[in-house]
Amino acid sequence: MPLTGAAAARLYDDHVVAVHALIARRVGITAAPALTQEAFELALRTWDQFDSDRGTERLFLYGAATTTLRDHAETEIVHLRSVRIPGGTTERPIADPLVSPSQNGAAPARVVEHAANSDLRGGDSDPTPVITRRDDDQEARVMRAVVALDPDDRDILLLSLWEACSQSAIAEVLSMSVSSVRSSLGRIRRELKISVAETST
Amino acid sequence: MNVFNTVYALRPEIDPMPAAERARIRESLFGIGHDNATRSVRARSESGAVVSTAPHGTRATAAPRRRWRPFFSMLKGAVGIAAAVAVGAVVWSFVSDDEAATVSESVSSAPAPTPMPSTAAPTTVAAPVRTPVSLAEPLLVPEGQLTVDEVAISPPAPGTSSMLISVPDGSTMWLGDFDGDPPSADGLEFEVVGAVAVGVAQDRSPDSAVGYQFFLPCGFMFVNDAPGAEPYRPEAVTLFEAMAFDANSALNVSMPGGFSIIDAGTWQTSFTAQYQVPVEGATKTARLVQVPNGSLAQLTFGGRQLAPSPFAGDPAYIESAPGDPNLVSIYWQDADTVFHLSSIDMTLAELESFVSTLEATTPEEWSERLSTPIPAAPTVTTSCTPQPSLGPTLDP
Repeated sequence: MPLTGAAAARLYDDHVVAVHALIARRVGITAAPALTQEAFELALRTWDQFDSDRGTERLFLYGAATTTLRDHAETEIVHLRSVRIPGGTTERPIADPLVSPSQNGAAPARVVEHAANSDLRGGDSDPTPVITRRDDDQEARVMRAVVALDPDDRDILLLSLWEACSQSAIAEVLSMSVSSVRSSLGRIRRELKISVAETST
Repeated sequence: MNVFNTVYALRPEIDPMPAAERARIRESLFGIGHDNATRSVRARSESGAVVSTAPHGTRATAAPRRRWRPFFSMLKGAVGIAAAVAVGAVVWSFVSDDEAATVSESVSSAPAPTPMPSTAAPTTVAAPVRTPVSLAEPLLVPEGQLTVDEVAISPPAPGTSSMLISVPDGSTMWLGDFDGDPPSADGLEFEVVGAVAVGVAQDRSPDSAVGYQFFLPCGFMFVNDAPGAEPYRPEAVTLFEAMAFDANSALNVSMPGGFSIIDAGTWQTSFTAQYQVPVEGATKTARLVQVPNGSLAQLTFGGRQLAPSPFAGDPAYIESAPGDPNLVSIYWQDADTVFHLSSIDMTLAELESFVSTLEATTPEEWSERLSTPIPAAPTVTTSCTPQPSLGPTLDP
């Protein structure tokens, strides 16, 4: 039975922003709204396949979004080829100020406070951003390698790195075993490295 | 920056979907706001509510792939460590490996959905996960305040690989492959088995585990058998007969029937910390070794007697015959990181409780928080060209 009525509307309201973001990262903001609608149509139509014991609503919707993206692979590929790092800079996390340098001797006991780190980001504790050199060619090579991946592998990679999905979440989204996801990520890493290296020479 | 880091850095930041666009799709899906009463939510719910004329493909199931790392397969038996093996491995020369590079920022989640009134049942939650590590944040640190009395970061050792092999009789063999100048063959008694020459120490103690040594043109390899196993027992001979080395000294093995690879991998950077953990008013000690992108074979250097045992709700291995009977020693893998947690004064339940307090972080942040720099990989001192550690059939 499709999901209908207020429950369907609630599902849409709860998750549309996240689903749209996933799709927009893959196909761009222009094409994203139409595909977002299509993904929700698919998810609601196949809602009888949702099993709350196996995963969350969000993961089920990610699965629908991934299926929808597969139907628009050409749009996705065109967009992914154009992706570049905005600004081309990264910031280095700041050091924990609660660890005294004087305590860094020969195996002394040290008290380490971790919880405050998030609050310290962007504070006045000398964040000293480290600017990395932008390498457009490298970015282009990497994205070409990503585009050249098997579609399943591309889904695994981008769910992991762009959507912060755990391996178990990816397994749920893509109807795979966790061990398959784990082994795939290792293989994808090697394939990407080889592919990028080959195009660099 | 390694490839995964670059892909992560390329993650497009997407602004929240405009409200007008959300409303437009919502109306399209549910008809809310339309004048036609038959398109109200209630009316449409009786006829399926959501109507899509667009064809939808069914997502193709991912093709089964070779499972290089059957991490949770049965592991039994044990392998002893020959002291000479450990010394030989430690002093070996290594070259750098950019795969040890790690990301410098955590992955941020998608924007939070707009909370809306709901008449539906509460949203389901994800199945519990033992630890929150991920590819982006592969290490664990306590989220609160803890005293640390040992911290170490060991460099990677490219050119070195190790492998745990499950043998048909239920025992386990540990294999270590080291590229570079081979050590002295003095004191070894050689036999030719299949296509390889195997050396065994002549003055070996009868009750010690058998360590087999293989000399390669530009490297060497050890195979440590289970404690108590006879030299050249049939299982060992069967394994050796399946081995071959190519022109680059790379090992290739066509695993015989009944043999399986439990885990294998190259030698990666390891992060070790020993914490003083408060437990019911007392202070106890827990030691955690973590190796992102590592293998159980690295953590069980030389071999360990492991048995499958759940830990914190997920599969893991426990050392079944530790040298110290008070030692609780657990091995497991989450995401791409392998862990070894041990303690001589904490119970398994207390260790599970300790692990539940850990949070994920990056190697750089781990290093900074514990004021321990990540060491550079040692340079090569061998006169040989660095060799592949394992052949194409085994290279992890």
